[in-house]
Amino acid sequence: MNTKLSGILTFLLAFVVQITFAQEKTISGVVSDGSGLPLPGATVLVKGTSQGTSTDFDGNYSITANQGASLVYSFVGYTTKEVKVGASNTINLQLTEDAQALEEVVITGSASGKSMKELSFSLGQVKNELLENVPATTAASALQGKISGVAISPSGGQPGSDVSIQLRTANSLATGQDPLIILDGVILEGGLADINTEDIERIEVAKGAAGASLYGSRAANGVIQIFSKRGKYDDKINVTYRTEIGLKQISSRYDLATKHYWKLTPDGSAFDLTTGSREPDDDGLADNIYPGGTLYNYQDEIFQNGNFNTHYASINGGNEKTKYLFSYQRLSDEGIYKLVGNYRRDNFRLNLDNNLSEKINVKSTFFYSNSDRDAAINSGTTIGVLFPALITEPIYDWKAPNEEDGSPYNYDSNIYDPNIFNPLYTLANNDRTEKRNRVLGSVSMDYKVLPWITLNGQYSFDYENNTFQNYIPKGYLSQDPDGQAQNIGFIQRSNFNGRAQNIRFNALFSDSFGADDAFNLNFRLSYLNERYENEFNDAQGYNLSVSGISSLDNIKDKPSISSASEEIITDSYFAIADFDYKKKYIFSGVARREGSSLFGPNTRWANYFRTSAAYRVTEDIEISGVQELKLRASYGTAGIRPSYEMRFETFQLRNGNATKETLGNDNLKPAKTGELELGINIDFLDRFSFEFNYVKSKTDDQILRVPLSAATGYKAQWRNAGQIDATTYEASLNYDVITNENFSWNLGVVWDKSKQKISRLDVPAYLTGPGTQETAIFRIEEGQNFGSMYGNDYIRSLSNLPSGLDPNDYVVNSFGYVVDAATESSAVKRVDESGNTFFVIGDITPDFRMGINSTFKYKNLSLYTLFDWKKGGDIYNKTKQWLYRDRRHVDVTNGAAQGIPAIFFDGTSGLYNTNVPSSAFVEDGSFVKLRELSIYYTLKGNTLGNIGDYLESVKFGFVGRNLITWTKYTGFDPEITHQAESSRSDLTTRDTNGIGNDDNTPGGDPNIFKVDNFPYPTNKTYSFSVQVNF
Amino acid sequence: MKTLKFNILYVSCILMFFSCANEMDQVENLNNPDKDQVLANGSDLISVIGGGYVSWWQANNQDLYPALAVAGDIATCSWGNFGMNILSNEPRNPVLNSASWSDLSVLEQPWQGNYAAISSANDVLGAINNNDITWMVDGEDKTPMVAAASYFLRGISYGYLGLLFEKGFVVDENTDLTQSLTFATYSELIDQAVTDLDAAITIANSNVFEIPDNLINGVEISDADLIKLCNSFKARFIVQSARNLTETNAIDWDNIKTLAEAGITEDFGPIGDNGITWWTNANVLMDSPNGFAEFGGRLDMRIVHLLDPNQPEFFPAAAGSVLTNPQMTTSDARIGSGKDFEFRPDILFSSGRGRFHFSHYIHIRFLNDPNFSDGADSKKMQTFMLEDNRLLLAEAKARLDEVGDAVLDVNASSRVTRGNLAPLLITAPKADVLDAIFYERYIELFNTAVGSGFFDRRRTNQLQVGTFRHLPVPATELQVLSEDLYTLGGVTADPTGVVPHYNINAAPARTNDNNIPTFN
Repeated sequence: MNTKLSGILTFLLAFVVQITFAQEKTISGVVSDGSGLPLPGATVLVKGTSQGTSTDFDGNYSITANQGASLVYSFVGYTTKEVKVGASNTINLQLTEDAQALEEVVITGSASGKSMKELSFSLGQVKNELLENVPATTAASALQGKISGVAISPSGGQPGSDVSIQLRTANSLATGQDPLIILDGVILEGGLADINTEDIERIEVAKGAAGASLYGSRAANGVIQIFSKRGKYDDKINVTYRTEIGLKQISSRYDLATKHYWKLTPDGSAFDLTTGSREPDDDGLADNIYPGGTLYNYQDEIFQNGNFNTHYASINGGNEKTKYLFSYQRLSDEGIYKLVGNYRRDNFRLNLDNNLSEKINVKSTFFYSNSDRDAAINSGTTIGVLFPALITEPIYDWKAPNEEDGSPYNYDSNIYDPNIFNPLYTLANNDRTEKRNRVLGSVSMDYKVLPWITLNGQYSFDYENNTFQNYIPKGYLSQDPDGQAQNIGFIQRSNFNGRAQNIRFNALFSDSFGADDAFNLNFRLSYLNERYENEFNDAQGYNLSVSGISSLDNIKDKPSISSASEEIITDSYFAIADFDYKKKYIFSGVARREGSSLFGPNTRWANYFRTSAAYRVTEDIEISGVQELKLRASYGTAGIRPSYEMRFETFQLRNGNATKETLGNDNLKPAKTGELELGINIDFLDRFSFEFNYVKSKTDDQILRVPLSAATGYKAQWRNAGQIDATTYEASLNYDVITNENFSWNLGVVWDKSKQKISRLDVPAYLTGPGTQETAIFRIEEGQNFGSMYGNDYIRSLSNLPSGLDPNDYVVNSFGYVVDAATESSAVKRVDESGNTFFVIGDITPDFRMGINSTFKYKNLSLYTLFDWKKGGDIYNKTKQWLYRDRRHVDVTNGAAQGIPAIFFDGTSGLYNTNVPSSAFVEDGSFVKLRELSIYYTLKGNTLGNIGDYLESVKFGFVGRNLITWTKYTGFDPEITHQAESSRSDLTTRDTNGIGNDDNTPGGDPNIFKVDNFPYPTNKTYSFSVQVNF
Repeated sequence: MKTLKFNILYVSCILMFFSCANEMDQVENLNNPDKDQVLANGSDLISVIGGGYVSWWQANNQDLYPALAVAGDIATCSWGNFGMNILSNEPRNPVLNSASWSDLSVLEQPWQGNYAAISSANDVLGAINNNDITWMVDGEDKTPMVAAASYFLRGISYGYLGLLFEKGFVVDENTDLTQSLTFATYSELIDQAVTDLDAAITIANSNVFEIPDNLINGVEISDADLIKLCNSFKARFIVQSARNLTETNAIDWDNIKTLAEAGITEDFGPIGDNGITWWTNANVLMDSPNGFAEFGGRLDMRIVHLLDPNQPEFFPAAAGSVLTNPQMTTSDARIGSGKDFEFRPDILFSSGRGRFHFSHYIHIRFLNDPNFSDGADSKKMQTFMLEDNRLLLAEAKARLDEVGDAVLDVNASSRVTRGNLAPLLITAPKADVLDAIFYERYIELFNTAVGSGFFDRRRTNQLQVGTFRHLPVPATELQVLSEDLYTLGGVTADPTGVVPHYNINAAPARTNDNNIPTFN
């Protein structure tokens, strides 16, 4: 306080001296922005004094100063300018937007917001500019390739599906890698699928515990904070309208066999059925022409070029007291499958900012989303459309009418494999509708008690309501999707309601002290109460009495019903202090204590902390060509929560009967990550900025399902029982290649390399996977990477022959496998000394990932591209394995051309291996992808001619997504789509969403379980957009 | 400073007001109860036993069901599901007892499920016997009913463990589960089953009750019914647990005769409920839309041969081979279009997986018999057929050399009533009578109780060379116990040590019709 007092005295003294001796005059003028619009509220200061004023609503100001003194004009987000007072009494000034200054203030992980330069830990940021180039359908996909250390696993692929995000390494063996997502202060419980990107101002990403400790036991997988645009102080209303109309198509068709190995009649006009069934040809080669002449292309019959369009409008403005932004977005997307209804979404947003007084600010956000879609496609499973479309021999007319009732799409056309049904019939007649409603909002009030104390209170909520209806009409012919419903029909209706509410209080203390205010402290005390409740109800039944009625009352047989509810309450207290000396030596510390109903009663409270420091070397030492050099170190802890039922002892109730399920654990606590991050930031040659991080983390107390002896009656108990050690190297470089007024080129590169190893496992090694049929391929074993695949290993060299086999009896065939010389059909599996035939056969861990974005601007023309490169990382191609079963893969006919019999591929002794995982289907998933491309031409000002009186600017563009992929991967796309659990796209059981239910990994883990199992193919899109600003 | 103090006070008050620490401790699991909840009230115990019956049913009638049928050469199926391909292969494979086996559920389900059922019974018996929990309804004490249902459940669970596994644990309501348990032999498991079923009989003898029909779906069981069921199950467990002919011959057949005579007088089995709870996988061995439909498992050629000795016991192995006359000629009325077994001109299995899977006959009895379910309908899923009990009785009589009496039983059986076959002569020799009994056991009991044909083959030395005699303790349990992994079955070893195995060198794997493996 003494320092402050002496400062004030000095100031007063100086002021008196000024008044006494100066030659004063009054200067007035208008401060405006780059486009000439007045800037209300800009500050005008006499340099070296604290004499100042601010501009009024029309940008006018008036100030007294001496001739020869300097006036300093400043406004948040604009470059500060200095002007010497000359003879004139009028100074009109234009301030230009300081893009860098505006963008660099970040909030995540700090007490009150900081510039990027003053951060002591790494924080990724995607700015509006980069988001607007190619607006992604959902906010999460917008992160792809733009921040190092972010991996996005595409969703089920169907429009409206969510994606899976992994930041840096995978830290959890059993509960997935989902980061905590916060939108305008609202902790999202219902995922990001509903959120459109046009409204997003910026996204901040704290990738691990070292940056995210503040967020406690949900933050070990990192935190993503999304900020929507707010209203702007303006004398006019800004209206923006943007529309995009485009086309989606599948990237490539799957190469399938067009020949077969069945024996034909001597004239080749029909299959030889003398034995009652088709028999393999004597030569066993799949090189026979199908009789009948017509070969159908089922991929053409199921895939279409789908149209999509978006319309977005926003109104934005405000005055000194109130600022507002209202926006509306409509999205309509046909998807790439025929006979599937559109995905349609309407989003509304209202952001309001009110200055109730000089001391009180209120900020509020409301968002409503309403969508519906035809949830017809399951991806990542053999159930659904793609499996029959690829595996059916191309000889049946799917479009022929049903002989039973004349309806289209003959459901049982497949006469030789009658277990596989025509999916077009299913798509046309089985209705699966999903409707979603989402309301998000927050109200936050700031009360500035003293200049250095601000109190803040916030209430936020995330409410979702989803309904799902599955209707198979009476008289439905096919056994697909449900044999029990054949002829008699089926109705299922389920709904899910989730309600999250957060209450938050903050007390922020900000002050500077010492000589020249060299010491700066921001200290925040916070309290957060999270409450989440959900309910799920499901009713279903068979045998409908009346056709065409989808009400549950139409069920004749006893319906089955089920429900579930959850309540989660969490309390957190935390403190954060950011302290620096001259913004040169920077320290930051966080402590958080968190209690949750998800933790066992004996371990109810968990503590987290972070400590970090940075040194801005260039503030002390001038280095030629280097504008900024910062060294950073941060260590933080954060947690991973168990899910709702894990700590409870449970008896499963089904139809009123109780059976033992899991044994409770009163000591279950969150898994805890400790992460050390060492980093460097360097801006050099005025054009480059570079960041590098080395990150090492340990996640102990892994929450695992520990099997129990059957004698206990319980299947398992969830315990803290293992550790993952992980390492990440990540780098990013931004390069302003050219910066001219008319011509600019910016290049950004992000790169990362990470891996995670299971360093301790207190349970026996086990297999797990995405939860679909025969996909438990991933071995969880101490000492192995998390993501190791396990199965039989087909040897490729005679030197690896199992002992006891004579090398003379074996050869290496043209596919590179060791096979028995006599038949050239049986590939040989590796066997070790102890007779074991299971080995690690693959690993999902990539060598590195890289994204390169480039923005090239020439006058009103801009060209943006984003390339995404993943090097290495295996994929298990289950699709191929299934196609080998039925000799439908093109390898089988290619093999025939080289004299390899079909039996080498199919059957028990063939590579198909009765669907047991093997090295034959492990493929390198490397790719380079032109992920985003846009070309825009903007008309504004004079170029608009007369229209310019009404319009501010018009922007025309071409936008492309996933345009080209370079890969050796043989499936549809090396980016495997998987139905993400959080998409809730198939509300079929109360425990999970149907797909992705491996007991050991509830919900699957699309980031880790890279299994290509008839995925919804990734598609490319071309579109045109027009944006008009009024 | 006053303002500051005031504000800190103000904030603290708000924080305390909103603090929800107590609420957090009060969060309960509203979806599923815990042990204390379900065992606290006498009236709730019945739901625990109900859950135990579901566990018992699902333990024995899901993935294990088709695996045993194909391993026993009763049904045949080339599909990899449920371990069918691995376990039906010729020559026989060992059971892949490893946590990596994708079909380990074939072992895990019966192991864990039967013990889950036993655990439910133990909990309830512990509540009744040790904690004196009772259930009174309008002055009527329903506790004996619950206790009897618990003993019965525990008895049939131990019975199935004894039928299926080489060894297991014996635990009751007084066992300390924190101590390590020692394995008991399969005979000891069967002994425990008999003890429990006797305990159920004892209660039923001195009480009048009705076990409600929601324990075993749709089946109400009176005290008298329960006694009959216990007797029949005791007979089944003792007879079917014999691992070879020597053990079969050593059975106390007098006892079996007594038990069967006091056994069931009608078919027993839960009512199908569309697979909601009472699911069965028998449907993969028939042309059921809930199984593999037309692709479902078929009647093994050894059974076809039994029905029509002119049919071969094995489908010819040579490529492209056909049966000269694939349709049976038999006077058995259960064969033919719309009957129990139907001819199919096609064979939908892939020859690449072995022609030993081929067969032209498929089971469709559920379509035509109002008392025979495929699990997805609302008919009885035959678990203990009256016919089964009758045949056990007939066999006991035959083995006790009461051949004439046995003939009367056989002639009263499905042989005549459903098969329309000629009654046996009263003078028929014992061997013919036994043949007729086993004929019925294989044909009439097809797709009924789990393992029925498998167990019959086992106790008469009819399993194919290398077929496991019983299941090993699942690898996942061995891992939990830190015991060495082991397996059973396979032509190259005789790990069971129960039966001297056929010397494989003298009969290499069957590759053609002339090299049929010998049965021991």
